[in-house]
Amino acid sequence: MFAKDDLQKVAQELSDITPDFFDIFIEERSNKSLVLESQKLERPSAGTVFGASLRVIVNGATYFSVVDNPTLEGMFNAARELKSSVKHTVAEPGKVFTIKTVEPPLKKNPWTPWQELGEVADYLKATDECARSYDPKVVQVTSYINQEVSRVQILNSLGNFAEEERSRTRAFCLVYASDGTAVEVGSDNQGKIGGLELLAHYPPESLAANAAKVAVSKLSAVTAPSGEFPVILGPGFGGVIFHEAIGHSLEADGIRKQVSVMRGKLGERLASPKVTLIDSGIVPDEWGSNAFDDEGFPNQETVLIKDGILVSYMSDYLEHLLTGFPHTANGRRESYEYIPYPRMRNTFIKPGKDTFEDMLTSIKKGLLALKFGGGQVDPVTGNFIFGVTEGYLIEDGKVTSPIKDVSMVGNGLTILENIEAVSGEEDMDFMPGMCGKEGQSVPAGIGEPYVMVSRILIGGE
Amino acid sequence: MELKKYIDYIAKDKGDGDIFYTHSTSKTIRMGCLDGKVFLEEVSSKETSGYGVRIFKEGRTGFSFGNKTDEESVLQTIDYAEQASQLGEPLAVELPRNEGKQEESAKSERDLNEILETISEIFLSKGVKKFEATAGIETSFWQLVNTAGTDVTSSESGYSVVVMPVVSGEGENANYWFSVTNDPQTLDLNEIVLRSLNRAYSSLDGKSMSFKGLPVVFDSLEWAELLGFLLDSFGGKNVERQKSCFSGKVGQRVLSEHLSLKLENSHPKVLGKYFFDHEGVSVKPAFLLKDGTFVEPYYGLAAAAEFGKEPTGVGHRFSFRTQPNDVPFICHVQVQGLPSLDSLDKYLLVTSLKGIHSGLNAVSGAFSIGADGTLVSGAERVPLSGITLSGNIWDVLNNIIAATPEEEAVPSSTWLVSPLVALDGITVTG
Repeated sequence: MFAKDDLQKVAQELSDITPDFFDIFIEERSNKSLVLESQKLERPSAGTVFGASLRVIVNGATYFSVVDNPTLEGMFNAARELKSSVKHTVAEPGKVFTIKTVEPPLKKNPWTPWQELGEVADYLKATDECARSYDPKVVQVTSYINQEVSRVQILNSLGNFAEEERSRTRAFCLVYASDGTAVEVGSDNQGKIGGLELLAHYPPESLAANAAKVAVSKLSAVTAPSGEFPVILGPGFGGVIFHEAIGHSLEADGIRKQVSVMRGKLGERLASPKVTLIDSGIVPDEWGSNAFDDEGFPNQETVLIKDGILVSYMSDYLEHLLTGFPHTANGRRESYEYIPYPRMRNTFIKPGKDTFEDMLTSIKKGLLALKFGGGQVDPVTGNFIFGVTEGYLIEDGKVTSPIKDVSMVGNGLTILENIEAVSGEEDMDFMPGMCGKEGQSVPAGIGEPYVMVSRILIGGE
Repeated sequence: MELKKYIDYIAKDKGDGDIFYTHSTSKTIRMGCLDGKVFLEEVSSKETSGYGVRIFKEGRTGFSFGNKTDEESVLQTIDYAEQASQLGEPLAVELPRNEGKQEESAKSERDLNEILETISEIFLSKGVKKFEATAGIETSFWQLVNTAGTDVTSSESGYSVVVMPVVSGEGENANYWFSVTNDPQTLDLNEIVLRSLNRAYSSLDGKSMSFKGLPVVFDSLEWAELLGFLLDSFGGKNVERQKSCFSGKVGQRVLSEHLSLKLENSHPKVLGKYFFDHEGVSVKPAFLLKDGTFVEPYYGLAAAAEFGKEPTGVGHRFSFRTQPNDVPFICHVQVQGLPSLDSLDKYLLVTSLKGIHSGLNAVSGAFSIGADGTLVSGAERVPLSGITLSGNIWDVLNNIIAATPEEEAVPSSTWLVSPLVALDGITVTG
C-alpha cells in the first residue's frame, strides 16, 4: 500500500488535468478457499494480488488505466499517460491538491482471520456428514468456504482519502439426491462481512440440512401449475426479485442512457403505502456493506421507494455530475481492474405490519417461494424471470406439496403494484449474493420479510 | 518472470508442480448515442500479469497465486501452494511432458475510433438514435511450465466489437451482436449492425402467446449459451460422481441420433489454436457424443488421475488466479440427416434468453426459462416477448428435427461451432 503523501503527489499530477472528477484506487486482495466433494478435500487455494487504477472523468467521458503490482513510479507514469490521452490539461499554476481523511460511517466488529487452510476442514467434513445422514437418498455433497480480504486505499479529486479492510466469508453447501431414476439438487449458503466467526453462527448441521431438505423433497415434488397465482416471497432470498426487477432499473446510468423503465418516475406512486425499498451500504455485518463506496465516499443508506412512492435513484459520482441526481455513494467495482458503476449494496424491503399467517389464509391456491436460483431482468422493459429452487404449493390457506424448479415471469412495475402485504420485523432476513453488471461481479445483499404479491406468472406445467 | 528458475526450485525442494503465467494488454473504447447524438463514454487501458502455482505433494494438490514478481513474493507464493498441498486426498497425477508454441497474431490493424465512427454512421443512417458500441484490442500471452519438463507458450491478438441498439416502436427493445477477429480489416461492420438490429426488432412490441408443438430455434448466441451450460454434464468428474444425468450411460444412446458433439483443438471458424490446455496437456479431438451415443466424458488432469483415465486436454484457467477447471476449448456440434429450417412451416426463433442459470437444471433436465423472439411463418414475422420456454432439455435434445446447412462459431468459455437447429417438445407459455 502507499503512503498518503505519495498518493497526494500522484493526485497532484491528475489534478493538473482539471477533470470533472478523478480517483485513485489501490487494492491488495487475498483469497482463500477450500472445497469438499465426494468426501474429499479438494482445490485448496490461497493467494494475493496487488494493483491500482487511475480514473479521470473529463466532459463526461471516463479515461481509465490499470497499474498492476504498482510502484509509485508506475502510478506517475499512468497518470502522465492519462494526461496525454485526455489532452485537456489546463493546469492552474500553484494550485495544491489537499487531502482530507474520511471517517468511516460503518463500525465493523472484530473478525477472525482464516490463517491455516486446514482450519475449516472439520466444518466441511461435518457438513458433508450431516447432509449424507439426512436421508439415504443423498448421493453427493459439495461444500466449500471462501474468504476474501480486500485492503483498499481510495483518493478522489474532492480530496477524500479513505482506507478500509474488507473481509467477506461465505459457506456453501450443494446436495444431490436421487431415488434411482431422477436426480435433484438443493443448496444453501451463508455469507457476512467478517471472518470465520461466521461458521459458529451457522453450524454445519443447519447448512447441510437446509440443502438436503430441498434436494430430497424435490424428488417427490409436484410440477407447479402454469398461470398467474398469488405468491408469498420468503424472507431473505425473496428479496432477489426486488434487487433484479426493481433495483437494477433504479441505477442512475440506466436512467441517463434512457434504457430503464423507471425513467421519469421520480415522485410517482409505484406501490401501496406498505412498500418501502431501501438500498444500504451500512447494514452491520451484511454482505453488501462497506464503510466506503469504491470512489472514496462514506457509505450510506438510500431510501429508494418510500411508502410506495419512488423517491431516489442510485447514483455514483459520474452519474451525479451528468444528471444532477443526488449522489448516493453507490459507486462500486469488482476490483482495481474495473471501472466503478452505480451498483446496489444491500437492497431490502422494510418490514411492515402484516403476518405470514394472514397472508396464507388469504390464499386459496398459490405459491410459497422460499429460495431462488437467481434471475435476470431487461431494464428497458422491466420484464424479469426468476428461478424458484425451493417452493411449495399453497392450497386453501395451507402450505402443501413441494414443487419442482419453476420460473416466475413478470414485470417489475407490475410486481410493485401487486404487493398486498409485508410481514414484520421478526421475519426479516438477509442473504448474500453476487450481482453481475458490465462484466463485473460484486457482493450484494438482499433482504425482506415475507412479502405477498397478488399475482405472478408461473411458468410451470 | 524467470519461470525456469522457479520450476527448478520447486522440483528440487518441493516435489512436482507447475506454474501458469499470464500477461495481457488491452485497450477498449466505448461510444454511446442518445437522441442521435454520439458521445465518447469510456477509454480503458489495462496491462495485467500474474502467476498461479500448483504443488503436487505425495499426490495432494495445493494452489496459490500472485502478481508480485520479485523473488521473495514468488517464493512465498510457492510456499503457500506447498502448505495448501498438505490437505486433500492423494491422487496419482501424472504431469504431462510437452513443449510447444501456439501463436495467433493480428493479421491487420485498425483504429478503434474509426471502427466506432463507422458503426455510428451506419446506425444513424438506419434511423437508430440510441445505441452503444464498444471496440477493443487485446494481446494475451500465457506460459505453462512444469517439473516434468513441459514448456508451452501461447500468444494471440484479437479485436472485438460489441454493438447494442435500442429500437423503438410503441415501446422499446434492446439486443446485441458481437464479433471477434484477428483481421479487423475484414470486419463487416454493416453485417454486425444488421444482425444486432434484426435481433432488436425481432421481439419489439412482441405479443406474449402460448404454443404447444411449435418447433423452437435458438439464435446462435442463445444456442451457445444453452449448450455451454449443458456441456458440464459430459465432464468426467460430474459423470463419475453422479452429478450428471449421463452418469452410468457411457455407450448408451442418450440424445438424438442426428446429433454429435466433438471436442476440437482448432477450427477454421475459431479464433486461436488450442493444441495445449492450461495444464500442458495436448488437446486431442474427441467425440463426446456420436450419433446420439455417449462416447466418453472429458477429463482434466486431476479427474483423469482420480478415475484412471487419460486426460482429454480440458484444463481451462480463466485467469492466473484460478485453478484449472474441466472446460473444453472448442465444441463442434454436428447435425446430420435432417432437413433444413426452410422445410418448417413455422417456428419460434429465440433471440433473447433470460434466467438460464436459475431456470435450467442440467442434472434433471427440467427447464423453465424466459425468452423473446419471433414467430417465423414463411415470409411472415410476428414479434413475441415475455414468453416462457419449459420442458426437459434432454428430452428436447432427443427431438432435433431440422438444421441450417451453414455453421457459426460463437466464443464463450467454450467456443461453440454449430448450425442453428430446430427443437421439438418445448412448451411455449405466454
